[in-house]
Amino acid sequence: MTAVVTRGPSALLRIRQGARRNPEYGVVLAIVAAWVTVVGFHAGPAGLASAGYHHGVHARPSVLATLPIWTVMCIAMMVPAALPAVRHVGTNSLRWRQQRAIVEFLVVYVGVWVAFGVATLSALALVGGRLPSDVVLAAALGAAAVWQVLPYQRYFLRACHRTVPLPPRGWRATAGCARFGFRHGRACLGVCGPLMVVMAVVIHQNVLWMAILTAASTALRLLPQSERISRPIALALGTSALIFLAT
Amino acid sequence: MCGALAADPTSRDEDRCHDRTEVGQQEGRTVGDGGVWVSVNYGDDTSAQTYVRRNIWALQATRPWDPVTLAYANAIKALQARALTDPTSWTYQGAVHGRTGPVPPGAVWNQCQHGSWYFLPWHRMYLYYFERIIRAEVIAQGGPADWALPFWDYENPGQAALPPAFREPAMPDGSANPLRITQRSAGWNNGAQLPAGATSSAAAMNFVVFTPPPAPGFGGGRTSPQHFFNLFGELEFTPHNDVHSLIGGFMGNPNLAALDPIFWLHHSNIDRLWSVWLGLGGGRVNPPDTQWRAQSFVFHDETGAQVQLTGDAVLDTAGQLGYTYEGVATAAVFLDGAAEAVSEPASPGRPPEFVGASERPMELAGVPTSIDVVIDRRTVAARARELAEAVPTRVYLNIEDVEAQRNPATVYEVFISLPDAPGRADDTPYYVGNVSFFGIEHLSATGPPSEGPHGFRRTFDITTRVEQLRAQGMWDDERIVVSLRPMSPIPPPTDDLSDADAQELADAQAAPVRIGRVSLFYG
Repeated sequence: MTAVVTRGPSALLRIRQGARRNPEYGVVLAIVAAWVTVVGFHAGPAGLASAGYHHGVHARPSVLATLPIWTVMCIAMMVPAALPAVRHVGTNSLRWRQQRAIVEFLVVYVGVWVAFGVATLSALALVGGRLPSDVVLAAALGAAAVWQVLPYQRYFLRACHRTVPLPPRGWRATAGCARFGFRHGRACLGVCGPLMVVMAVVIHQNVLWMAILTAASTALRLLPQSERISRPIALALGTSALIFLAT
Repeated sequence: MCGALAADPTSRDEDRCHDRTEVGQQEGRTVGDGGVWVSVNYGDDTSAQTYVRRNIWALQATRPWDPVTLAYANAIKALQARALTDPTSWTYQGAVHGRTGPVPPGAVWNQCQHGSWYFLPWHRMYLYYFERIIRAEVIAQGGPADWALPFWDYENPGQAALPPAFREPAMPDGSANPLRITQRSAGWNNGAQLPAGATSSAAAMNFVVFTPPPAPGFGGGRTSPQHFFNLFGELEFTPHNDVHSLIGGFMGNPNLAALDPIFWLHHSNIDRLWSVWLGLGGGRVNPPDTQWRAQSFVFHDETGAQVQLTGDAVLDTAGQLGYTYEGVATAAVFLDGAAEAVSEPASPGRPPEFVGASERPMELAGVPTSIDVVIDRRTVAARARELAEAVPTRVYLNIEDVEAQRNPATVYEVFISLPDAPGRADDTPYYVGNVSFFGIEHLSATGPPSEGPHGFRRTFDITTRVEQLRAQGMWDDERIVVSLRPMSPIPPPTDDLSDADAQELADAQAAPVRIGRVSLFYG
């Protein structure tokens, strides 16, 4: 009697197959790395020097100095809600350009948030030396609260769930991924932009703000029938605004 | 307690409350009252009346105004006279399915479930309460107490036109006929017929799985409750969406569809086909998932009171809801042995892989249109090396990222690798199914703000077709041509459309549709 030994796929092949079937896993690692970086930043000398909330009128660091940490925060906070889109890009791209397609999508998507950051941080730099920081924060929280209950937020949420046709190869494929990244970024900006303005105000404060705002934005974008949580989020933001004004 | 329980059909005790009767020790069912009303004996000295939903064409076999149809028309008149604020009114019931404009506080409007695995249970519940509302009105008018909603079995030869009473200009008393509305595509009120390709439930019946990963399946994809989503089951596409689209007018728009009296008979047939599918056996079962079974939806009963039902409470139409369909047990003719293989699920644990797609979007405008789909050699070669498969286990064709401002009043037949020869008589070997666009306005960028705006998508399992074409040497492993051809109703036999009607129909059929990509996946 002869035993027939059949060899299964090698460990390397299984890993490659797993990565191909779950193309968003690599991006999850990038998100974790971004969170580690931000936590490290806040725990380090630069972060400790500015930790805690500061009342009164304060000049803010320059936009250029803040932009690197803002970019990392965008990856940590805004990419989790884009994971379904990342998966869509991966599973709708040919296997040999799957990772490239995801990078093309993410570069443009995060680029939208970085551009938004430049504009927001510049605006905050202008008002930062003129208004008390708690007034600026209360205004940002209040605006984010109002945005939650406006129909525009629902419009953008709808657009946030849309997909864009992805041609299979060549420059059209690259353009398709870039177009999807831009449209997805623009739509998500319409949903979470006001929350990220709050984040820009407290960018040098603590990680708790980041965690709360990430949870809120991810829930808004990924939970079914998330209009049910828009009002509670608006209420929480509005209450926080009043508290900051009162104190 | 019967009255108190009347809003909750989930209880077997309540079912007996339909008409609790002492029937001695006789076991089983007896047909009474002209074959419409069935008495079910529970064997413990109690029984329940089970209503029988009958074929509308059989009811109208000898005259358009049989008692069931006449009672339906009279009840509709009464419902139409009620205010929109009355939950038992015709317009309110239509709005439960969908209505454009603001929703008054507390109103149960815009609730229909489409492109989701809730499509079938939600519409069953909807019909159940609508039938109770109509029956209450029928009884109030002195009509048949056993009134049940008929079904329109357009798949039957000779029954593809609207039933006669739905085309009659007037009722027997000379008053306006509420069953005939003008908001239908040209020709329907003169006897136009649905083409067989749009009414066939064979493809749906051949699926064994209700909700498979990946699509397609019989009953729709797993979703949360969604007014409109893009995971349609095969039954929802054909015949459901196809019939809506071809009749057009009110029927072509989810926010108006339930205002056409034929809507309810169309959905009664879809509900019947669900029962037929289960009756075919062979592993065909409803989803066991708690998420599907425990999901509740809100409606109004015949008193106007709000009531709730869960999926679990509507799975046995006779035992839980008190109705059956005439002739369901004899429906095994649906099985098509050649296509049975289509229903086999894909390889477990191996999601389909993208292997090719069209390079550009495709525009449909009511005329035959084709597009090339290039299959990526590099991907196919890598798969063959990795999986040691000369040919893929399953082949899926996707029509995806579809957008349109409105539903065109047509259905497109989809073919693969259709030869160019004009006038070819038999194109069956290349036909893979239909695509129609009922509800597409809800999935478009300019649609109303709601969940599920992912773009319209249609998936065909074309494995069997590919095998057949490969066997005939007609399959190209590097390129296929996907062709879409519009389908029209069969014109009325004795009536030529006026030029104006013909132009109106052509314009409605030519409403543009943009297909973002046509893609091929190997499983």
